[in-house]
Amino acid sequence: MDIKGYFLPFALALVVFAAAFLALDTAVMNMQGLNLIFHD
Amino acid sequence: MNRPRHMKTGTRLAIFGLFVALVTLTLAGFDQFGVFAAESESAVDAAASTGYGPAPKLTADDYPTIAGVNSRVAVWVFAQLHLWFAAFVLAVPIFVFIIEAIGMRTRDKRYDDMAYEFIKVTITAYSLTAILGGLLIFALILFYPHLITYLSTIFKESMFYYALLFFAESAVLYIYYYGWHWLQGGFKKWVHLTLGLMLNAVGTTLMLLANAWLTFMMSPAGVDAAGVFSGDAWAAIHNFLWNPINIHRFVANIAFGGSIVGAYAAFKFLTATAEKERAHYDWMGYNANFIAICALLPLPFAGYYLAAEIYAYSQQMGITLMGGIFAWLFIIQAVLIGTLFLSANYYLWCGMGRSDGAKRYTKYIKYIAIVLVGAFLVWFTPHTLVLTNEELKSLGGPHHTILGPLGIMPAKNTAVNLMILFTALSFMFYRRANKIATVSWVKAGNAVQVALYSAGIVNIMFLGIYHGYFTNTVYKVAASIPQVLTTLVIMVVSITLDSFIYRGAKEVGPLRWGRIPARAQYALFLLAVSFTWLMGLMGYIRSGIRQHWHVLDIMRDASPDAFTPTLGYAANVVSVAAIIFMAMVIFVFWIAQVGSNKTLPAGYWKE
Amino acid sequence: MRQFLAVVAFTLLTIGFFAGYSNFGIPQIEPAPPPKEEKLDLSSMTMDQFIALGERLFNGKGTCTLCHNALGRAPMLGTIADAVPKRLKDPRYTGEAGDIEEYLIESLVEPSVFVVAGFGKKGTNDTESPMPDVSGGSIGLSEAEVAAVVAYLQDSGGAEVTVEIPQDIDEEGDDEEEGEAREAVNDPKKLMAMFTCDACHMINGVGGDVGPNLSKIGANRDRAYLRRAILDPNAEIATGFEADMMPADMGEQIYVKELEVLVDYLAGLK
Repeated sequence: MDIKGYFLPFALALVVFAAAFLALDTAVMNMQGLNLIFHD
Repeated sequence: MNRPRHMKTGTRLAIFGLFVALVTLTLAGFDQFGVFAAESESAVDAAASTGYGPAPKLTADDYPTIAGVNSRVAVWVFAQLHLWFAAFVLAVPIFVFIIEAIGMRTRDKRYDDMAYEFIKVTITAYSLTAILGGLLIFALILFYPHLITYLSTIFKESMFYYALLFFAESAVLYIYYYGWHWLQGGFKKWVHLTLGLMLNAVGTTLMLLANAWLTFMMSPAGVDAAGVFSGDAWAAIHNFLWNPINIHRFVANIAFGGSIVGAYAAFKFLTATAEKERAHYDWMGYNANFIAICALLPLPFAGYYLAAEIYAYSQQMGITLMGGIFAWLFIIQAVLIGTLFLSANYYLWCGMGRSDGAKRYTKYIKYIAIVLVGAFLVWFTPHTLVLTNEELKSLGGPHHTILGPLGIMPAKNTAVNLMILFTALSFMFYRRANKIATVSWVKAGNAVQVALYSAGIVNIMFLGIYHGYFTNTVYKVAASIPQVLTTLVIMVVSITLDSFIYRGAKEVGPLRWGRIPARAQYALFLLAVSFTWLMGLMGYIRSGIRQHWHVLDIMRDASPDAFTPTLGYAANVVSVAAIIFMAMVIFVFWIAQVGSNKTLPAGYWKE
Repeated sequence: MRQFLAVVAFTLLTIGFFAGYSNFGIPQIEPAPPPKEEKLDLSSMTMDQFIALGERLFNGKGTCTLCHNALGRAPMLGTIADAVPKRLKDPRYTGEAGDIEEYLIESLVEPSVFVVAGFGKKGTNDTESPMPDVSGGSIGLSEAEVAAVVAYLQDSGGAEVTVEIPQDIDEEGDDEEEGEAREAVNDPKKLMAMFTCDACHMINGVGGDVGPNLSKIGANRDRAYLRRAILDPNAEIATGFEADMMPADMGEQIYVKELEVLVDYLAGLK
């Protein structure tokens, strides 16, 4: 898969997906009564 | 088709199969040893208000023996063989139904022919299932009469209707198979498809009933602590582990059935002489492998769910399952599952040779292979499998309410997720191999795909490493859920995205079915054999975690064979059973083709 | 035919590999035989012996110390004489016991009638106890055994021992480790089982995790250390473990001959 010259869509999508996955992680951890980042 | 040649092969095949079966049966029968571990009080007379007595307390004398036969091994082998065939004959109609429906929709006769060939193979397997089920029940009545009596007082209705349902199953199956060419076209085809649906409904009901009896032995319900039955048959059927086993078996059966018909296609491919025949069986093998993989991908999750439910039902049984000697069984399981994933992927990679456009993707294959092998090694590395005191303490109790056993294996979870993800990637490459996208934004689309996989993999690693190693057990367990969800999200989004990228795509050229190296067929055999063996192994642990109980905590096994054998011993029994099964499967395949063989006996009949 | 034989050979090789790996690639652990169902001779027992039996059950078959220990998985039981009367008046108490004896028996077979604050199952707000019914299932203490444990708990908890030794229960037999003379045991594994070492110590994947794992203890501990560790367990405590967990009276229970058998065995675990 050639992404040369298509850095912009890649970077944009990466940011969007990373944010989406982070949101998913946070949501699922919160549903279990926890936070994404560990607190003792 | 070169008919005489086929017949010759087939005859030898059958003789060899019979020979193997006899030798292994004899070996299994004479393997006898015993440690007396039995003593018990006299049975308590507690005629409860329900009219049912408590579970009997047995002594070693309550187990009849036959000289030269190890009763546990006999029941074990019969049960396992019955289960393999049952899984096969239950699974095949499921995808035959789907393939037939696809054929009806696409009006591509190849699908209909393939579906017919699949069901043809199951007809003999069906009667073998019934015969082996009969052998199993005979062996249970002979060797474990008190257990079967106790179970049948509780499950008398379901056992009776189970037997009756077999008539329905047989009738529908025979009409479905023998009526295949009669019920063709228009309305008749719909009738035929409906028969397929009924066949699956009856078959699944049969499985659910049988599952209830065995899960009752693991997680008894509807009885009190002494085993006195309340009279509520539904409570006994709908016991704690019934649905977890139902789901796990349903999915595993499909993967298993797919792998077995894949082996059938592989063998037909290898022995085919005509180019057209090779193309047909290559295509069939591809579809069978596809079915097996589709069911294989969700299987680890069904397995985790089952393990978590076992843990939730009985912490002690959960610890037996994940700790102690059975911990090593999961290392063997890792080897088997690694083999399954590697052979399935290898077959896909070989299959890319069918397309002239695959060259564009071959350079990525080696990276997928590296990740798969790496993930396999992580999984296979023995790890602390038992909760430590610290972990127990931080959980605030011995187990997480939902996913107790998952917490101890964050590294393995990460490895499994990556394996599944990269198998999905192999599939994506395979699907793309013969296509050239025509949409204007194809490069941007690809960039998004790369971003999706990159972000997802980083997320899976983050959850695995950060939560797996820098937090406590509660977090470790909890983090496995977003991990799995990430994998699912990647698969769904990337398939959706690809379907848009390749909308209106051009084909590189016609797919050259049959252009696949012979060694790829061995990947299909490896898949089938590994799956068979793995099923046997997991059957052993499912049954073995009850330890010295017939019915957990209610009816004790007082027979000399109540002890838990070593894993090596269990593996040997499974291996012998697997060889018998393979020999019988070869017989089934051979008999499926014998019907179409014709010999012209010149001058034999008077004119 | 050649193809067929090749496939058969391939199949047998694959199965052979899996079987070989399971036999030679992983350690072959001989699982412990099924536990025996104990029988007791109560007719000739004094109350002290009965309490001692309760103590053995508490530390052994009853598996109580897996949780009722210094790690705080479950409440400690040393203050029963003070605690129980308060619990009986507690509005959260749902049982029917009238005195300490009845309360103890009840809490052994119906642990959820009173859950000490902070020790309930997660999410049940201390209404449900994680403790199993000790008379049921896999622990399976008999009525007499429950009475013995209650006697021990009353004795060690500073309460008056009110339990009576059951006489009418038709149980017989227990010739095992009843104080006086018994045959010396020469099998280290039997010794381990007899003194219930495996309740706390793991060897090759079998056993508890309350004490240190002994699977490779011989690799860095010599005989003198092991001997002392058995006879005087609190002399030195392995990192990460608690003191006072292991019975300190092993010296009164084990024969010298047996001690050496056990030390030899442990020293050989490498």
